[in-house]
Parts: sequence; structure tokens; C-alpha cells
Amino acid sequence: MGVLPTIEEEFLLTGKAKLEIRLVAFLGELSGLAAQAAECANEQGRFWRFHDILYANQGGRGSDAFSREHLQRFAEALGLDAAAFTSCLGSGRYASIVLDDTNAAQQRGVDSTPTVFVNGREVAGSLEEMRAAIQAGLSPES
Amino acid sequence: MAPKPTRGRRRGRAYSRWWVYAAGAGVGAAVLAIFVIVSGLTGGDTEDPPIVMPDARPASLAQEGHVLGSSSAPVTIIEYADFQ
Repeated sequence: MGVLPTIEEEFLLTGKAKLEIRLVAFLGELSGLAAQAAECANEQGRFWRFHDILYANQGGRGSDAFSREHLQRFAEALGLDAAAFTSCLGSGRYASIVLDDTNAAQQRGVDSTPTVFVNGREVAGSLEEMRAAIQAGLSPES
Repeated sequence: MAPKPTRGRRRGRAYSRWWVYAAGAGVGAAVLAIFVIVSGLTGGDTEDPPIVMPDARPASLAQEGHVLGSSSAPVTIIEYADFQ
């Protein structure tokens, strides 16, 4: 079981923690396009489902897994309003937001992904360290 | 008056023409074979890969925009993510 599913099961489902994703585009043009597509899915209330599909179908740096055509296919497979999704992605209205978020992340010292903060403190991505940081955040002294 | 061609000469011309046709057909076949091989190597017939659909999350897990989990949860995890 990966880190995120375990954290979800132990801390998110139990109401002890919440997870916020901030999208950045460090790895090129298609990174940015995928982030914009996720924002377009968010307009239709399906951010997390689309997020999961992107991760399940990623092809790595340099692949075309997140080309416009493939992003459109994902949206259709998810049952999104395809016309609205295409219009949203084509408009580029989230391009500057993704760019701003990427710049903001870099200003915070984030230069690789995934980078995780727990209650404002950067934590290495291993399960044990995440667990410890969350437990520390739950303790009354913190 | 031009000398009448002998039978042997005529047969020689027919043979040389046959070799031209054979060579042309051979070059055509070679070009076709190279095209087929290169198309195969570069994915000439591009069929879209199947889409992997992950399991849906439990309905009891709150999802609001970019946030997963209860908004009143005491611990906040922020993950910076790049899809690629």
C-alpha cells in the first residue's frame, strides 16, 4: 500500500487530518497542461477523480500521456461535460494560475515533487515520517 | 541501310529489359519493407492506450476542491504535486 492511501485511511477518513494539493509544473509544458486540466475538472466538481486518473495514467517526463488528446479522453472516460472541458482547457484560463502557483512553490523552497508539509513543516515523504509528523500535530502540546 | 539485327541480339535486349524490370521490382519491395519496419518501430498505427480507471474513494471522505478530508481536521497536510 502506498503512502497516500495509508494516510487517507488512517488520518483523512478518521477526520484527524485533511490533505490539500497544490499543483505545480516543474517538468515541462505537458505538466502545466495536466494541471490546467485538473482545474477544469475541478470546475465540474471532479478534481480528485481526475487527479487519480492522471496519476494512474502518467507516462513520465517526455511522454505524451498528458497531451490535449489524452486529457480529453480522460475527461470523457470520467463522464465530464466534454464540451465544457474542451472549452476550459482551450481557453488557457488556468495557465497563469498554475504558473503563479509554481512560482510561489519555488519561493517557498519547493524545487521537486512530491514535497509535503504537515502543519507548515516540511516532512520527508516516507510513511513513517508522515505518520510521526501527523501524530505530533495531533498531540496537545503541538 | 542499317544491318538487319540478328536473333541473338534481339534476345539479348529482351534479357536486359527483364533485368531492369526485376531490379525495379526489387527496389520497390525493399522500399516497402523499410517503410513497414520504420512504421512498426515508430508506432505508425497509433492506437490509444487503454485508460486505467483507479478505484473511487469512499463516499464518506469529504472532497472539496483541492482538499481531501474534513475541513475541521486539526492537521493540515499540503502536498506540492506535479502530475508528470
